[in-house]
Formats: sequence, structure tokens, C-alpha cells
Amino acid sequence: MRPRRSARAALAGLLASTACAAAAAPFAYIPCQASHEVSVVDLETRRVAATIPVGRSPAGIAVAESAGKAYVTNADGKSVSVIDLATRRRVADLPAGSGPVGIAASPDGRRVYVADWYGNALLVFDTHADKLLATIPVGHAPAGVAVAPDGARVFVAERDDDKVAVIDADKLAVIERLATGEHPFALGVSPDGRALLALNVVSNDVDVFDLPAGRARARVAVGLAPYGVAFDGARAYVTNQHAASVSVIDLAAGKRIADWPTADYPEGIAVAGDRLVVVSWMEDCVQLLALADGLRQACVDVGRNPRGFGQFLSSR
Amino acid sequence: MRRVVLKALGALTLAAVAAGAAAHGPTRQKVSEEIAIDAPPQAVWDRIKNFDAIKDWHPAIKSSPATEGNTVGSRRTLTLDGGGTVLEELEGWSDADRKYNYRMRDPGPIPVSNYTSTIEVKPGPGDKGSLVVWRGAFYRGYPNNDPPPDKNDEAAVKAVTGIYKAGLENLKKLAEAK
Repeated sequence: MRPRRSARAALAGLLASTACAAAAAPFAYIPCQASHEVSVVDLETRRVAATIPVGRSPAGIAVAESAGKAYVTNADGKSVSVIDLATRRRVADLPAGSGPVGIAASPDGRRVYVADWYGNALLVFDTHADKLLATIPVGHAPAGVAVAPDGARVFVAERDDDKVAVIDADKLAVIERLATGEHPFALGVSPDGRALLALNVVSNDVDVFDLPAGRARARVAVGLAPYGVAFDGARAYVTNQHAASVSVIDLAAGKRIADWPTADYPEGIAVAGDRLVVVSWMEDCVQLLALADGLRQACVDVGRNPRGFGQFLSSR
Repeated sequence: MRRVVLKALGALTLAAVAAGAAAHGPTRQKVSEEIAIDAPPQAVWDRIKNFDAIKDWHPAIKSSPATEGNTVGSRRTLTLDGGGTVLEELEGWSDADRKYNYRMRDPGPIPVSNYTSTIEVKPGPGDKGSLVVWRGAFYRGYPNNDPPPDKNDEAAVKAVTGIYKAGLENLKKLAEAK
């Protein structure tokens, strides 16, 4: 059983690293917080292909394609649901502190990192055994989690401290803290690994840090309540929850270059091929916008109060 | 309806929410209520557009003076019929779109935190009359795990639903009165 599984994982890993994950990702796994399920949206047919019941009040998600699984944080269930991507079924619920929210998988799919909002900790899970490996104490109200493309550093937004904790993935310890604007919630690392973005939900701006140095490079004003971020080469796209818009940021210039209107309360966001996928919490739908100019294409109805906080795209 | 709201607000006075740091739990709630009104959108908007006019159309609000009218940043203080006050700040106002949005700075006796809301007047179906949509997003009043029943998610949704329904029903009555 074991060798077969690891061979499959290795193959999946190869596929994920060669094909650009975004281009080959026709499915969006969206946690719906009020209906306690994950809606799997087929982005080609623009329909819900499956509905997967999970724990209570799911918010965050990390698709770990190379592990063949997706991990969902259940904020009120105090657990992480494990979804098998092949069968689209929940295969396990892992106890996860007292309020799991933000979540990210390592690029090799071997680990998932979960922020425990009430427990002020980062929980590290091994995805092979689906077991807790470590609990790392962090600052107050840890929210978004991001991992550098080489897997060596993990970043956690310490929302109530206005900081980002930088964690060494080998030592499993905080090695540095970066000062941010007010209440950083979501984080994102650019695919080239050279920029870390912290979205400050109260000061309505985005801090851009150079990596690996962790030097603050720019603070970019965006719309009200920035909540989610996605990348496409030279650009970042930030959802502004209270402005019903996406701000487009030129990463090299450190400037906002456009604002595109969206459905109400946009949250999770991803780049899938030539489209932006934007979760609308208020409208209970997943919106598709043209990546080139933000033109609205469709809004696919999903479960209630969808969040999609994290990496939700999958090729299957 | 008015009685229901007053009762709800009265029961909540006990559950005074600590003002200050806007810490909240991770599960945001929402309420979306709408009502069809047999009156032109502009006429309905004229009744509600001023940020300080909510006292004129909401049955549970006695007074609602605002610091800077309809300018973003203006703050209105709602004095509730059932006792207690609520402080709200205008975050957006559009005459062209017939909508405004605001945030609670101090929820007073209402068992919510981090509350934001939008009210909008649209043309009704088939361009007949108006449709007023009032939506709010918020967290429960108790910021930590294991809330007491009067400050849990259900209490927050119930209170906000009651406020919206009572307001919209009264607005309809006023706007349709001959």
C-alpha cells in the first residue's frame, strides 16, 4: 500500500510542479461557512460538481495536490477535515486547537500549517500520516498563513499584534517578526518567492516585503477591508471585502494600478488560466472575471457564506 | 413587529458589549432582508438617504443626530426606544446608486461586533416600484469560544434580523401611505 501511495504522490507532485497549477486547475474547492460543506465548482462548466460535508463553520482551505488531499479548517468544529481529492469525500477530521482559521500546505505537500486563532499557535500536520507534528506558539489572533515556494519559511499573520511571524520550517520556531499596518489578516507569497504581501484589514493597505530579506518595500493603499490575494506573474490581485472590488497591484512598482468591481463581500481569490476566481460571501456565489480587464463573466451559486480562505484550486 | 424588536433590544441591554478592541471570533454572520415598496425609487431614497434620518422611518429609534451629515466619516448616535445608544460611522454614500454603507463603532446593547451594513434602493421587478435591500455582516457579541446564549451567533442574527424587518416594514408603510 505504502509504495504505491508514495509513487502516486510523487507523480502528482511532478504534475503539479510542471504544469502551472493555476492553468490546469479547473476545480475550486470552496468552504461554505454557514452550510458546513465544501462546494466543488467546475470552472469550465460553471457548475457545482460535488458538495462535501465537513465540520462546523469551515473557512480556510489548502489543496495539497501532491498529497492527493485538501485540508479544511472548521472554525467552530475546532478541527481540520481531510478531503480525498480522488473520491471527493471527507476521510478524516483532525483535532486542531480551539479556533483553526488560516491554513497553507507546503509546496511538496508533506505538511499543512494551521493557525489556531484562539490558541495563539501554529499547528503543523504531517499529511502522510495526518498527524500533528508540532505546535509553535505565535502572537495574538494568528490568521493567514503562507509558505515560501522552497518550503523553508512559513509566514503567519499575527492579526492583533500587527506583525507577521517568520518561521523556520526545519527548526519549527519563530526566527523573526515583521511589522505591518493595522490587523494583517491574509498573507501571500508571490510564485517567484520574492515578495511577501500582508493584507491589513483595518488600515486598508497591503505591505510588500522583499524576500528572503524580509525588508519592507512598499505599503500600497487598497480598498476597504482587504481579505484575499492571488498572483499572476508581475501582478497581485487583492479582494476588498467592504468595497466590493479587486485592487490590481503592480508588484515591481509597488503600486495599485486598477480597481475592478465584484459581487458583494469578495473574499477568497485565485488566478485560474485567463480568469480570476472570486468568492462572494454575501451573494453565496463564486464569480469569474476576465484576468485581462476584470470583466464579469459569471457567478456560480454555491453553499451559504462561502469563504475560500486559502489555496482552493485543484486539477481534479 | 415593533414590539418584537423592543423586546429583543430590551433583553439585550443586559448583554452590554464591551467597547474597545474589535476582537472577534472567526465565524462571520450575515443578514439580508428586502422589501418591495409601491413607490418610485427616488421617493423611497429621499426618505432614507440622509444618514441622520433613520429616526424618521425606523420605529425603534428615537433620535439619530449625525456629526457631518452624509460625508464619509460622519457619525450618528442612535438612541433606542428600548434604552441604550449605538454609534455608527458612514463609510460610503452614493446618491447616484441610491445606497449608503456604514460601520458600528459602538454596538451598545446589540449583541454584535465588527458590524458593517449597506442599505440600497433599487427599481422593483419589471421597473415597478422599489426594492429596498438592507444587508449586514457582523460577528457575535462574545469574542471568544463558548459564548453564553445571549451573545452567541443565533442571538446576533436574531437581533439584526428583527431590526431590519421592523425598519423595512415601517418604511413600506410610510412610503405607501396616501
